[in-house]
Amino acid sequence: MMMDTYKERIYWHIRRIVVLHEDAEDILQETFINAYRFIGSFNGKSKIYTWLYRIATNECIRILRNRKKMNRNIEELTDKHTLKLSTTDMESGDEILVKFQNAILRLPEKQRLVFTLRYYDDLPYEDICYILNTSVNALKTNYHYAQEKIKEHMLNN
Amino acid sequence: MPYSVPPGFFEGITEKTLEKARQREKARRKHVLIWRSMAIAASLTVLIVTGYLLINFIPKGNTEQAAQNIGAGPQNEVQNGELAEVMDTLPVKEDFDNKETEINTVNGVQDEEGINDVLSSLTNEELSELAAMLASDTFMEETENNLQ
Repeated sequence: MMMDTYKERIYWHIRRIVVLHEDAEDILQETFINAYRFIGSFNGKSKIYTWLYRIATNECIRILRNRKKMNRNIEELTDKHTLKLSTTDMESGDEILVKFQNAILRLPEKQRLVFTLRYYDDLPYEDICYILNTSVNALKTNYHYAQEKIKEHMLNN
Repeated sequence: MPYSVPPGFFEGITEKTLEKARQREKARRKHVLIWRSMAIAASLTVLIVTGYLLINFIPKGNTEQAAQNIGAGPQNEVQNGELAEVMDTLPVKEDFDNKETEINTVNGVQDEEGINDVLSSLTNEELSELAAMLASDTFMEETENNLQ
């Protein structure tokens, strides 16, 4: 079954973007429900997991934009997530990872998505192009800027 | 990773997702059924209201006229065809003029013949009386002048 094969991989991708487990669970379920519903529109030009990543990423973007509308202040939102991350989800000895994750959370939406897909999921740029519907050059630029910002955050905080 | 998941989350998520999908499909069907019922009810209401308005609010005269027109429509077409045939056989103005000339001619001959017969049947005395009447009667004189 498709879900059994890809659920963990897709879940962690979602979780890194939205941070909260409850949101990640909802988005994961939505992703697979939509995947089964629109399986007929999958033309086979891409790999099945990139198609699933695309659905999941679009759902994450939708949720993040809704949150932005509700919270209005992006800084407030990021601080909320950072606090959540450092209080409830932190495991012992993971301080450096939390710092790293905080740095990722402070990135702009596009850079954050590119960095997550490239760094954690180790996807080739061609696949990321399909998932985010953008060009390779734009992806490389975004990835570069994201790296620089993370480095800066890690060194200064 | 600085994140953790509840124990057994990945084991149960497939079942949970399938259950959610089933519930959503059930809700969707229910939704479709409600909308279909509403659409049918609305269509029936529109039909009934339209029928009621047609029956009760169109003036009676118009209805009768319309009914007559509708009923007489095909007959008129037939009659028009027949009428055209009849019209072809009817005399035109020239025919009437010719006919009038003929009638006048015939009447003139008949008048002259009638007068001759009457005069021939009269006796000399009667003829002289008539001549005297002509001489004395002013109206006869006027008529004679008019005729001339």
